[in-house]
Amino acid sequence: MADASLAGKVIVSIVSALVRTSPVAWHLEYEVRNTEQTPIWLVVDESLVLRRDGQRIELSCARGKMTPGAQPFGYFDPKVVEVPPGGSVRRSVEIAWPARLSGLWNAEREVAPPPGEYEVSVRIGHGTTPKPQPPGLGESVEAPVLRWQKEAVSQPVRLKLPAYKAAPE
Amino acid sequence: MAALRDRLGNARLARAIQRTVKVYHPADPIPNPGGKGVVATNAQTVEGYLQTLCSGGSVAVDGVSGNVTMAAGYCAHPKLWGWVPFTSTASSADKSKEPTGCNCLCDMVSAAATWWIEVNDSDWPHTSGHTVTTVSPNSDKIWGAATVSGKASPIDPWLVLGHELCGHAWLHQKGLPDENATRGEGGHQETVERENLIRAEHGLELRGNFKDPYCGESFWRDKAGPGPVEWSSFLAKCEAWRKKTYGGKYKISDKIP
Repeated sequence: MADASLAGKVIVSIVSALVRTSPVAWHLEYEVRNTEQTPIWLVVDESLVLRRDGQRIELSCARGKMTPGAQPFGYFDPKVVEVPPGGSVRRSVEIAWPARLSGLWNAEREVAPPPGEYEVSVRIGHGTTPKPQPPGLGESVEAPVLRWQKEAVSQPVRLKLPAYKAAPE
Repeated sequence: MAALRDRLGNARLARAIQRTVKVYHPADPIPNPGGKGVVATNAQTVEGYLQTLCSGGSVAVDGVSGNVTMAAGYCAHPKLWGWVPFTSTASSADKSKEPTGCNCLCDMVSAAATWWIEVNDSDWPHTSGHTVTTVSPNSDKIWGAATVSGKASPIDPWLVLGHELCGHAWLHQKGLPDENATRGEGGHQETVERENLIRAEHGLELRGNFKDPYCGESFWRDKAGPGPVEWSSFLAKCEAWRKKTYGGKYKISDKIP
């Protein structure tokens, strides 16, 4: 399985990738390794951001930026798990097709790419402290979170997307 | 008069069949991790929430199409049928036990734009575009907000929907102000006012405004336990605003007169 590092110290790699056919879904397991001398705090929010560029699809488990005009009931710090120095964490992401996504983080709530082969990567977010600084006056509540968060992305793996049933209107 | 009555009758019929609020994936079951929670479809769940917001008006959600409907004539003002022009007479919605909730649904169901309601337990409730979300009864989180007295009080899923649909979405649909960019420093108050109208109809303590204890801010906590209150980051903004505006005179738990 493809393994990759991103400029340094936190390495994310996809360790397994399964294609389910009924219903059609992808199940990816990824590992985040902390090669730093200090702990990191990995973002483990439930939300998923999907970015597609042709035959490339990125599944981001990092904290995203809210879509313009979105009004959240509240804005909350990311959920995190600590990864000690030299340690690693395995997480998984499952996505059924057509994909149902949160409109808080994604421009489209339902994404239905055509069947075919895709290069799929996983993005993660992490911080060097357990939580971001609180927002200050005059700044967006998102700003400290996005400043706090560093990101890493895996090398892609090739995954087949079989034909699937489109969602009913 | 007969022609006018025909036209108005057609308008009324049109209202009865308009369907401009819809539930996402109405036939799908609500999330039920572990299988021990409530078993219901999205349509059934949202129908229950809407019927709490407005107990009259025969509010219904079609289990296949997701279309939200209300009884014909429930929203109509009898002045349309009256003999004295421009005499405003209350509609059935106005005279209901929940005029804010019922008139909200009347307005949204007859809106030109289609609004969607989504049951979503994996994200924070929100309004984005023309979609509002709320949580299912099986959510692993308790959502809430600080009341006027400063209590961290749970908000039931139907009221979460009321906040989003009859607050943010309704204000948007009516073209009324809904200032949220300065939330924590005085923003978000129009929607809180709308939520409070609904709370009053149900005998609930009102949600605080930004000068009340904890700024009326929202929170979540794990149902299991229950866990500690996790305040929205807007509370930190409100604290900073208090400090800048009043020095150290008021703690976050204080009411600012």
